[in-house]
Amino acid sequence: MRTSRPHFRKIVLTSLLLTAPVVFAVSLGKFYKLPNGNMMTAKLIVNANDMAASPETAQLYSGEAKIVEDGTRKGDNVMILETLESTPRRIAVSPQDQAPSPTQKSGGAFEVCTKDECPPLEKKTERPKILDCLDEPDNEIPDLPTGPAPGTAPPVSAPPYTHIADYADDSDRLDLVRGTQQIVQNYEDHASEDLRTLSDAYRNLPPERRRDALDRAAEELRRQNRVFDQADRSSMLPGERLRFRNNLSNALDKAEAARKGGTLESLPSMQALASGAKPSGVTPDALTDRMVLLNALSPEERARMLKQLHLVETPTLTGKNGKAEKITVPHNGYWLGGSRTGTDCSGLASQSLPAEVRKLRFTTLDFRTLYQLARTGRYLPPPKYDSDRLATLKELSHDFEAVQPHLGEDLKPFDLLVYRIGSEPIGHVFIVENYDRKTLEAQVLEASQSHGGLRSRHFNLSMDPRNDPHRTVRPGLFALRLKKEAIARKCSLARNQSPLKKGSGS
Amino acid sequence: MTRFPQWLVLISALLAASWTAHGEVASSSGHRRLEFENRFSSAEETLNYFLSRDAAGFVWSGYLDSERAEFTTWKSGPAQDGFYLAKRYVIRSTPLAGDQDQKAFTVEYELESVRDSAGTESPAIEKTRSVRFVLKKKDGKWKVAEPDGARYSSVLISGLVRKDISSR
Repeated sequence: MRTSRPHFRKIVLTSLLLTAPVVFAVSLGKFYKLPNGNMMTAKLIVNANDMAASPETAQLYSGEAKIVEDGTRKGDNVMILETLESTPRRIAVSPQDQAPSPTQKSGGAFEVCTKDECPPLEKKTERPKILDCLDEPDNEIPDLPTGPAPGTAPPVSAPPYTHIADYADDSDRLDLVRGTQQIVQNYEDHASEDLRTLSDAYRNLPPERRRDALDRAAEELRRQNRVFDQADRSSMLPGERLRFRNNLSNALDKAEAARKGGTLESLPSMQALASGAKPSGVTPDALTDRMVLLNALSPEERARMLKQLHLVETPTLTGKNGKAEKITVPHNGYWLGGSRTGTDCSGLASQSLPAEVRKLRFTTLDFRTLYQLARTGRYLPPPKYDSDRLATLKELSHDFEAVQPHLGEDLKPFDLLVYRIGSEPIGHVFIVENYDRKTLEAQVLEASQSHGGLRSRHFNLSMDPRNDPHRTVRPGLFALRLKKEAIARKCSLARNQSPLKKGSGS
Repeated sequence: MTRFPQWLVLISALLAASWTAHGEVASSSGHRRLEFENRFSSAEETLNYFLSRDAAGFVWSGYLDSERAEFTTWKSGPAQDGFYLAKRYVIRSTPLAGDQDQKAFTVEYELESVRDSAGTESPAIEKTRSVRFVLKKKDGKWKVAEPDGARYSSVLISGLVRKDISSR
């Protein structure tokens, strides 16, 4: 039996040696709680409005996190994550479309931290993207002092600041639309007033002088046609040249016809005025009628009249012999290529833009290039630009967002809706007043060549029947939206230049 | 008696046959003056007048409402700040069954380029452009009904407008 005692001691000692670390570890565990399963669980309170985090994005951008519960999917603002390592690691969960790298601390990402690292809860009352974070062992989730239970979050009742900014942004856009509407109305009023003024001047002529007036109109318009034909027109835009020539030619044809008929009353607008109607001054006919009526006046009367008229240009043309001659050209607000007193579709759009953005008189091709630059950041020729113009367009493209209606993106007030296909001569630009996404119908402002002036009208983005379930947007349509920053610059400039500020000093 | 050479007779016959087969009625002509009243007795004359005016740029810029009402059924005129530039065009009649008050034509343009009001030039993708015109008789007058005014792309003839459209 003596031989069995040492054996027993050996067994006891071996057992003690083997069990001691286990007992020691268990004892330690009572004082130092290790994370369950070598994982850390973090409860993160995120702003559900700002975050579009999902397990996929969390894993994608952190690589080390596992989302246990994602309350943001239920409209809540709580997200519970587990780190997959024993040491706390920063976990970046990214807002939609602004995914930072895993190591990035700011820019919309938030971090998991240990309890010691976390700032005190009560000090985190402001509303950054991370409201608070806690290190909770054993997956024990306490009641949250700042957030509702998952699934019980009420809808957002007060818009966050970003929404208020959106509201202010829309208001600023509507202000810009109202500014454009006023431009359109001014042109129309001026054209109609000019027509009445000229018509009255002709009617006030004694009957015996009316025949002379007809001769004078034809003669003067013939002279102006000749001057224009022989002039060096290289300084004018091609669009202006054609328009000048066409208006002069049409007016001469009308004057000749009126001369043959012996009366100016055959002119459409004169007939309308005689019948007591109030014809709109902004039609191509009204324009050529005014040209005839103006040139029917004697040189002295015409000179006096020029001071009264609103929509008239007196360009000086230089003939091939070097002789400079003036021609008198009334217009009704639409002046292809633009002028001191007139504009065209792209001119109206340019004119409506805030002064800081209005650095060029844009054409629809320019708008197309701006769209391309805003969307891709790259210039893809054709067209072939001169270097200065291209540089300006590149600079201005930072003030615009590219809006793609054919991808279902909605229009906003003051979007520039452009119709342009590079390889075709079709080009037009509208300024959006409002937009109905259900019918794809936009109310737009435009300077229209066919109309001969500026107007507001409906424009449907689709040519498909309205009851068609799959309506497609017309090809070649795109929109440019002035960025909030560009509008804000305009507003701040306007405030700085406000007469109130100057006058009161306040 | 002098006889015509046989090859000349053959070529003449071929030319005549080709003319008839294509129904060619006109080709581009010079600058037409404004007509206040549509007194044309045939659809061909109306179309020829319209195309002549378009060729010189009168439809593209400053198209008169009175002219539009007299020669087209359009509710509105073209509203585009660009146009095609062509060397020439040819009008061919296209058979249209049925309606006596409707006539169709195909106008074929030999394109040079595409221009806008600033003089910017873009290449034309195709060398030729074919446009189908339909004229309708309305109140005893032949008028251009198709293409629709809002969709109409003007085609100017370079020989008539070269001086006005050249770049600065």
